[in-house]
Amino acid sequence: MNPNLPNFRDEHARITATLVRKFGPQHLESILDATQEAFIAALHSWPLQGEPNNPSAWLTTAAERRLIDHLRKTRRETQFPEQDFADHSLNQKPEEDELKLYFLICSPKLKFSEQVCLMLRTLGGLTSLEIAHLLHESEEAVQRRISRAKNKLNPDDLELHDRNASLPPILLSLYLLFTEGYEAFRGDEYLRADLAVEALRLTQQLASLTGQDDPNFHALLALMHFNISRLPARTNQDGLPILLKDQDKSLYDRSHIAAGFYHLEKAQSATQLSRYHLEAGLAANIASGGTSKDLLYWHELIAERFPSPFAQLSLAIAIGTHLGPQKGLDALNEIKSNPHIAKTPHFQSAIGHFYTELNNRKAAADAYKKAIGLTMSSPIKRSLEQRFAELSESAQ
Amino acid sequence: MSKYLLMIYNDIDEIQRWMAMPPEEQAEAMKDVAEKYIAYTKRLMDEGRYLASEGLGNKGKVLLGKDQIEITDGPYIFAKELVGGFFYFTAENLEEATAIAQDCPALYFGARVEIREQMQY
Repeated sequence: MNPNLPNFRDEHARITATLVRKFGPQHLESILDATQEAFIAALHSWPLQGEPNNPSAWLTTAAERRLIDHLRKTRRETQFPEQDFADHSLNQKPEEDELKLYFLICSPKLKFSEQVCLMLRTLGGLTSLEIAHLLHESEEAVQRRISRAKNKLNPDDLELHDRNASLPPILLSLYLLFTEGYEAFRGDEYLRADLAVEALRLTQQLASLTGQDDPNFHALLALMHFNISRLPARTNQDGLPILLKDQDKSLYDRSHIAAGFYHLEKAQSATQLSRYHLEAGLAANIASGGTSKDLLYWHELIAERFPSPFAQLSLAIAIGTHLGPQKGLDALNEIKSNPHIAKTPHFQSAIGHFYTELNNRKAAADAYKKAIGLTMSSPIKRSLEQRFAELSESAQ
Repeated sequence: MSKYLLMIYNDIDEIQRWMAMPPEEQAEAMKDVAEKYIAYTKRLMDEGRYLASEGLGNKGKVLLGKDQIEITDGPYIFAKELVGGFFYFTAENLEEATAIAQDCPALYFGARVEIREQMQY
């Protein structure tokens, strides 16, 4: 049950950004309230007065007026910027404001969890309740986080010191937002497709704002498109995950694959390959039905160039899939001393999977049992429990 | 708990009166509309019953005819009233929904308000 706010999502980032520039990020909460109120006002007054000639300017002006009312009520002594209710679109560059808002929100001062809430609320135009639904948290928790984040920001943070240096953290935040949607770590859903799609939308919005042909941007967009193309095939009717080898490839979304290749092409101009490039390459291969050998190649490349616990684990799984279960178990054994890897349910379930292929039911069941005890989304848990039950039955 | 659709039927004469107001007067009147609707929407949200709400523009088409479909511009040519928007919310029963509908600011602005219970399957 998602509450729907008026359909002005695309205006949200622009209006918020303009007001943040004029009034400062310390008033972010009041700004968000004022913007929401302007939307409600538009919703019910436009049918009476007719749609204004410039809806965008109408909304900005309405939001600004409401914000000033808010601030007057709370702090009588506040100095306000010079009033300018003229057409906002004429003499300003809203794109510049919006861009600054991205930089502000993705500031390293903020924790990732705070950035996520601010990105969705401010740039994405989602309500706190919608964000709470997406993140499987309470609305109060989301509001608390926004409020805490706001207190860490001050007007100086809006100054762009070095745009090129500021871009990587933004891309990283968007990438993390996407992966969180692509495979939920906890909660009732295995995937949160809408979160992944929202991350894509924000990345596209940012790409059009910067107007630049940054190859890393294209690589990130490519990897998002390729991965989104497979969403329809990744879960069954009950929301349980389907393994790659069992996925119905005809369900892959062709238009996203095409968009992925378009951006991959544009990403080629890079002088240095980013993590996004390699992951886009991998995702392109999977989406276009690459062999286990192809996938092993990409996983090796990623683990070598951008080593991380997750990359090592994925590589071990790719080894087992291509070279056989025993090789996979050997590779997993080599990395088990890393606590970041060994405590993931993915590690234990990979062991369970390879032991099942070797027909060692006892060891497989043990591993699945361990995996079930670890934090994860409930569909993954259910599918592991299913595999565990099958093993126990066939053992009797 | 059931879901209810509250439909707002604005009077055509009233809409024309609003649209003909001089800009300053209209701005003042709009402020009043905004205040009342914001308060009402927030109340529904605070009570946890708000599901959605939208406004409808005046642009539209009317389609009519079983064998030969005739398409004409805008509903206002035929109607005395125009659906201006709706609220969609939850309530315990029709009585409670009606009580909530009584506070809808649309009434204050001369509109007719209709409340309908969503069918349960």
